[in-house]
Amino acid sequence: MSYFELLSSLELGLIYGITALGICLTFRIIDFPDLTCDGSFVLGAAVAAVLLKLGYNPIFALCIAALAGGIAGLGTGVLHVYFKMTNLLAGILMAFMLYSINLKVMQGIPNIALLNTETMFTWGNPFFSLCAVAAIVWAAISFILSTDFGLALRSIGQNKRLAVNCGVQISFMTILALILSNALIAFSGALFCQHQGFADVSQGVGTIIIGLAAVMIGEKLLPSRSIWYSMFACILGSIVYRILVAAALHSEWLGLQTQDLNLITGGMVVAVMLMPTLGVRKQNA
Amino acid sequence: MKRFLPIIMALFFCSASTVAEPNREIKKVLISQVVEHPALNKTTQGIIAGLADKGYAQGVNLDLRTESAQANAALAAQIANKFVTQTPDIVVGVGTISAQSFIKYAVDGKVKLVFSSVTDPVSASLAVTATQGNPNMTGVSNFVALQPQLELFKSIQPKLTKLGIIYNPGELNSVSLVLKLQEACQKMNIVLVQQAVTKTADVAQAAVKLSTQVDAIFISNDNTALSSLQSIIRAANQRKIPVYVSDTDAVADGAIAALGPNQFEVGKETGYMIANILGGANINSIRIEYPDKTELYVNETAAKNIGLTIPSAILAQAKIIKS
Amino acid sequence: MLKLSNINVTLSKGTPLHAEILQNLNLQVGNGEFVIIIGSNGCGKSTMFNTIAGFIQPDSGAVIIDDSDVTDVKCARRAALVSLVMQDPRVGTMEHMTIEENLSMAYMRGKARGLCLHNTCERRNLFIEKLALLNMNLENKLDQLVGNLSGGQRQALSLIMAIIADYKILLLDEITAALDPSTADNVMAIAAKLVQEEKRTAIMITHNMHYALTYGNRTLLMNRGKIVREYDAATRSSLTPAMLAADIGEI
Repeated sequence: MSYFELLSSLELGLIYGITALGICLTFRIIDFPDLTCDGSFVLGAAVAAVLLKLGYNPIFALCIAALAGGIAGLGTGVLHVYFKMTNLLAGILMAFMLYSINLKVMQGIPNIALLNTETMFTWGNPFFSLCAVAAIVWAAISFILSTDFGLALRSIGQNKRLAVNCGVQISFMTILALILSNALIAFSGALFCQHQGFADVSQGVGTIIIGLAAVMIGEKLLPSRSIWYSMFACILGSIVYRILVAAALHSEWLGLQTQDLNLITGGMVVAVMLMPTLGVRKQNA
Repeated sequence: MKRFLPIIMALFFCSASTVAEPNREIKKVLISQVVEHPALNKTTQGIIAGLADKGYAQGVNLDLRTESAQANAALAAQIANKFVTQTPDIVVGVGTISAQSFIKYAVDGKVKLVFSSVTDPVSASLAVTATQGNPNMTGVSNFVALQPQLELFKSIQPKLTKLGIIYNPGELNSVSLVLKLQEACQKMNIVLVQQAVTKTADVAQAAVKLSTQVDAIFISNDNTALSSLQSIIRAANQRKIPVYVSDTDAVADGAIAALGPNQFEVGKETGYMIANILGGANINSIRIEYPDKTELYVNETAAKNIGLTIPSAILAQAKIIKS
Repeated sequence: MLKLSNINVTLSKGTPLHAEILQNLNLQVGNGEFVIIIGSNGCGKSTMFNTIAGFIQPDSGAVIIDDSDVTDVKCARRAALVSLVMQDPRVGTMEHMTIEENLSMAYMRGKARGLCLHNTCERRNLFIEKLALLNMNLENKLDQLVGNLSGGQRQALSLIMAIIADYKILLLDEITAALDPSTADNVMAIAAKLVQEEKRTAIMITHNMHYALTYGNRTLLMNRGKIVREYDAATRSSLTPAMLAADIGEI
């Protein structure tokens, strides 16, 4: 694997690391398997692409994309809380509807290319820009989860009964977490579209798997109870996942064929999961 | 089974290739294909066949490898990264997303990009005009002139007034084709009835609904519709209306007729173009090609099944398939 | 002060499991009083607690705390008034959070949770002070995960969590039932000490007849959704645990 490839994997890893943060927020922090992400990722890309084509500032485009993602999360939350849908169904339904909404946002054109359009990556070194963005998002999310508000979010995922006992309004907090999570995922979609130079309505395929794999790898590599570490672990997991994919792409010497790629990547993820945990963890007898 | 044999062989060759030391005698051609799909697989085989015709043989003077992005944009991006670092003589993007993943490297002059099976290179940012590619890019589109196709349908069904099309609004190729088809239909006084489907599972229902509204159904190079062509044909047969296609390979599957190139030919033309560039031609002076060799295929059995008589003038020019 | 008047609760309405759990229940507990509730299983003790805490909405009747009717106040809001310690310490604490985080969660009970860091020095000092009351050395383990504590320690922690924020009524629901006898005695003694120091209204459910006579100001016996017998301080001093158990059996 060359230096250039490694760098590109790092960049993609940082972009999807933000998706992983969003997925961690729902799947891990509030224990809500939210499947909206495949749709909200594309929504972010679509909104950003359209705004950039219209000549808006790339940073502004990122913010509006995140806002749009937040609205998608609100939709899922409302379906779950007020229309009493199960969490899985609410997410799937929202992602399903987002397909049409995304096409609408893109004015019926399923693929918008951004060649010769100013993006935040035309300003400077993409790697450093992404490092900065990821660091800011990481710090912001970790901070939020270290506050009283964040503590209440975490309590929902761990012990709903006790959370209610402590006066946490579960439905309201669940909706807020969904908004935050999908805003992050759409933000990451908007970054991806600027980085790759195009938005495509099928771009979101597999977002959830990539994100979950990143979360799991991160937890394995950096088991920790500190929220700052475990949020960092999501981004780290995402980078490691990208490097695993890059490595899997180099496995032709094994006599493997193109369609074996998922199998190899999956195998590597399993291998990481089976690895003995780094560092010593104290366990009570 | 016979039609899959070339695929298996092609894949065998891809996998059997060894990582050779950079050797200027051996040309390195790397293909990124957006998804494993019969039509796109044919294009890739065509590229290999086209290169072979021009004397480039795998393992002798050619190092050719294929990766599939499995319809995943992030994977396409990583495949592009990998390819760019391997100092290829040419990278090939089969399908829009795969081709687009190379754009930024081609613009920077890091690679030469030849795309294939992209219907609308301009809206995909691969080209400046229909024939002039962006810097370091050229390729072969699979766009087939629509007028001759509509004329064919009219001569088979002189009373054709309503033509239905099933397509996925999520495929750029199909969306730009439908826009052009609308114009062409207007000129021919045909009403175009559009039916959007977003996934293969919806095609059967969409076909049943559409078949009650139109005189014929037309399926162009839409991957979603082509993947469940059998459902469309079954629905159309019940209403005794014909299904026309653009991909000549699909005629053997039960479509009535097709006037177009087959995907294999598109690939072959791409292969010739690649050989030309490998031979020293300047990529920026090569115009984007559109399939010029169209062939007429007619499925007589399918026509008989729905009680359609095909004029003998057409039969005389056509390759006739009985299935 | 807590007042329950004519409370009726029916569970699983309209199904074969239809059960009238509470029937015209009346109860009044004054400020600073510590009342013990006893009774056989299924007599409605826990349902009464859930009604007070707001987890169950009564079919009729009123829950009144300090002269205001809170019957229609949702349980998340009622948490500012009612503090509940549950039977199972695993439910009463969050095992994947540290002791400090657990206490911080409880500290904000009934208050608006904003975007301020929870681990402030001020709170930490308060937590250390309160944990020191337990004599379990928990004050030096603020960063430990609660999952690493023993059942007795976790239950003691949940007691501190219950009193760390302001409240009007403290409900103790069989807090020693999941503990071994000596730990149970210890936790019960701590609970009694806290209740005494807090000087606020407290109600405790127990199946331990010894505790029912030793702690609290008066003891109430429940049966079939009603309070059927009351033992005041004078009566209690003449009773033995065995006699009390016999009373329950008799009914």
